[in-house]
Amino acid sequence: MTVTDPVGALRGRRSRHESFLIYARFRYLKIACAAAVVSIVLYLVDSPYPSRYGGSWVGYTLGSAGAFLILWLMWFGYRKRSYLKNQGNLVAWLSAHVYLGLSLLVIATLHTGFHFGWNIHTLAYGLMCLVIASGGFGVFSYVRYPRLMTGNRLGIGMPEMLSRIASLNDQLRTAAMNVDDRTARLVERAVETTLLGGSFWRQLSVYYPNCATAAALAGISEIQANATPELAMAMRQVRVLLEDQGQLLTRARQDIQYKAMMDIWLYFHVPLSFALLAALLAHVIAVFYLW
Amino acid sequence: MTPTRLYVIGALAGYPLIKHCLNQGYEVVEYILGNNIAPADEPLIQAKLDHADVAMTVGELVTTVRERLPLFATLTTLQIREFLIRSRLYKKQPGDVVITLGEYANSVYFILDGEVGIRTDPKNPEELAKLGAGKFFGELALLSGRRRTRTVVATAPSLLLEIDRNTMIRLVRSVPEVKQAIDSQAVIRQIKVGLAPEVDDQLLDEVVRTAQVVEFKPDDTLIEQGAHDDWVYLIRSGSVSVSVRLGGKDIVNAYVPAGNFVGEMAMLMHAPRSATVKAAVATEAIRIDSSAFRALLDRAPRVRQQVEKTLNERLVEHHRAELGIERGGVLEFFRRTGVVEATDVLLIDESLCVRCDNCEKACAQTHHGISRLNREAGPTYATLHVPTSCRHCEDPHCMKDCPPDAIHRAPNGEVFIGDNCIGCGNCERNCPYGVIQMAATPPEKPGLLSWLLFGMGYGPGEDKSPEAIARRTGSKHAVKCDMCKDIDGGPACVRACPTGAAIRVAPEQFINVMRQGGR
Repeated sequence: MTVTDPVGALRGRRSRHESFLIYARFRYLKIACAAAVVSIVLYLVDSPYPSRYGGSWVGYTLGSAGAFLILWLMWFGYRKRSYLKNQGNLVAWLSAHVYLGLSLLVIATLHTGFHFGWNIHTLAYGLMCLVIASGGFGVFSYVRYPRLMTGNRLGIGMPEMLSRIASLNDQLRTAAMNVDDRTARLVERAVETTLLGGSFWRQLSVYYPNCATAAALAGISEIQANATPELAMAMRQVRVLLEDQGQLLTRARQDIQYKAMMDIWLYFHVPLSFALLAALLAHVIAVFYLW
Repeated sequence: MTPTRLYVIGALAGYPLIKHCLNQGYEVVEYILGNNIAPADEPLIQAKLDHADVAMTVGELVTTVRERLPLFATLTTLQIREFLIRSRLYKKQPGDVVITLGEYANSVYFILDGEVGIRTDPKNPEELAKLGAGKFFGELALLSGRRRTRTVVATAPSLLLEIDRNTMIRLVRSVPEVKQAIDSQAVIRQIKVGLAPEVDDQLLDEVVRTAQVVEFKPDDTLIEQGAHDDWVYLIRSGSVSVSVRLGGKDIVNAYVPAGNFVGEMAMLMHAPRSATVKAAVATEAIRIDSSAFRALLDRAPRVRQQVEKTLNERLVEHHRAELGIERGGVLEFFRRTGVVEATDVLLIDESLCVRCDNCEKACAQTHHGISRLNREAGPTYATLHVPTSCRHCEDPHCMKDCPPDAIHRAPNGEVFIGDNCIGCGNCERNCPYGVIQMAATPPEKPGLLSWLLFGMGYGPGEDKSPEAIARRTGSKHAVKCDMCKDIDGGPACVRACPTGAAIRVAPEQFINVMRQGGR
């Protein structure tokens, strides 16, 4: 059904979610492809003596284009944070950043003329490839993890998960008053020392070998097997609570992992691009002043 | 013995006791002493006259209002003065635009002198329906969350009296005759806008005479599937859902916001009702008799064309429902979480959201360091997330009890809090969606480059460190989303989303969101 809009309330509004990858019907993918095709044609058309290299007129053209592209791509970091200026939607910028960044791989590779060596020039090229690779992982994680994250959460956010964990901790403490000392100590240790998050490696791997909650569950199973019927009854409640806590912890840790996966690549992407900037500067200076 | 006198002052005498920010004690004492003193509100009203450059005394203005505006003829001087304090006067020259099509309606205009023209056809600015002295326009303002449906221009040198929505509602409540007169006028104009923009008033006569305004509570049924009743409804405020019963299950296949009509299908096809229509929120609808409506269609072919076009689209929707294309889940979610009350709501697609919180940072950066949006909080359906952020309700709960009248609706629909907020916290308590917070303004931050290059100050976004919170000791006032009404380029949250996960949606677009179904 088309809803009538007699007063023009809907002028110029988006009503659909549109990912940065498909933004404006792949406008920037098309531009990037065109840039790559033009570069390839230029490369093929010109055949300088003795071989194709960065110092020919095509080489300089591609090199300059690549260098400007790198500067513009890095400007994204500033643009992303300048909120007041009306410079269009950030989603358009990211779409352009991703596709034009990928086209850089073609432009810069052709600029090298496939001459590589152990020098500052190849270092700059290598760094650029690493930056693009880390960005590629970024795109992959942005496509993959948001959906997994929502699926894992089952409608509750991290603050609510944390408050549920805290409330289960309180219930565990109360329940532990009715059981034997050994069990109580296990519960106390689980409440006090269970780790959520932790180092970046832990967050990424979801590997918690010494999880106090898991240890408490294992310990309690053992004690319960040899306990008197009354004590086993009291322990059952503790057990149920610990199992709930364990499930919640798994889910929270999984959530943290997904978030970490979406964050980690930036810790490489950004410093590497600054290293690239430095290497690029050295490369340009070396070419123009020292050669 | 000296005789004892008892003076009854203010509310007991039938008038509002306290006038906001006016010292009335002086007036009371002087009046009792028998001195001929001008009322405390006199300078305020006089200032309005002076501001509009009208050579009149307050007394003359009161007389003019009573003589020229039949609607107010029965009001006492005190009642007239009461609303004059909150009204504005305008002198307009021929050609001056008074109200503009598409703006949110916030006030009603009365013509004290002169003449205005209502543009009946947006494409042809020359086509004007004239209104003379004593008439009023803009009465749609009484239904909040509605946009102006016409542009009005002055056609002669005119003196206009503008009364804001809250004052008018107070007046209408205390004087039922005013409500009746305004309501019946509104019905005529709404039928014209919603159904038959280019039709003569005469042709509409029959339709208007049989029309009735009917109120529905949320979940009330307007139309029952299979019934043989004979009405067409024009939704005046609120919204309705249309569902079809298939295999013992109600499948919602449409959501119809205000300004549209429902029930024309059975009427045109002479068939029993093919769908159930229920109010999604508190809804007001104009109920029109079908025979009058049919007669109108026979006489006005252009209206017939328009109605049949809508009918065809509805049949397609109906067919989709029969194919089992379900979108009731999203509508039910919208209803449960109050999204149906919105005029503009922020929706996040969680399958695109990378949780970078750039939306919150953008909000804080553009609004004195305090984010008016909490991305993480709020309900989620499938991957459709409604963050805690103002949805600019059709009938805002926050506006209902604001002592200094600091909450307003801007022409583009933004509900915002003005500088005269006294920090009482009423709006925060009245908002069912928890989107208003009481906050003191945090200290200024250094510029972005100083932070980027030299690490000075806290980065973009809201400084949530304990020290920063401890430093916020100033007097608190209410803050909420103002939809970035003063910022070029529109809402910063949407502009700052790198992945396209955040969009702002008006009720007219809900159907598109439902089609996506919270993928």
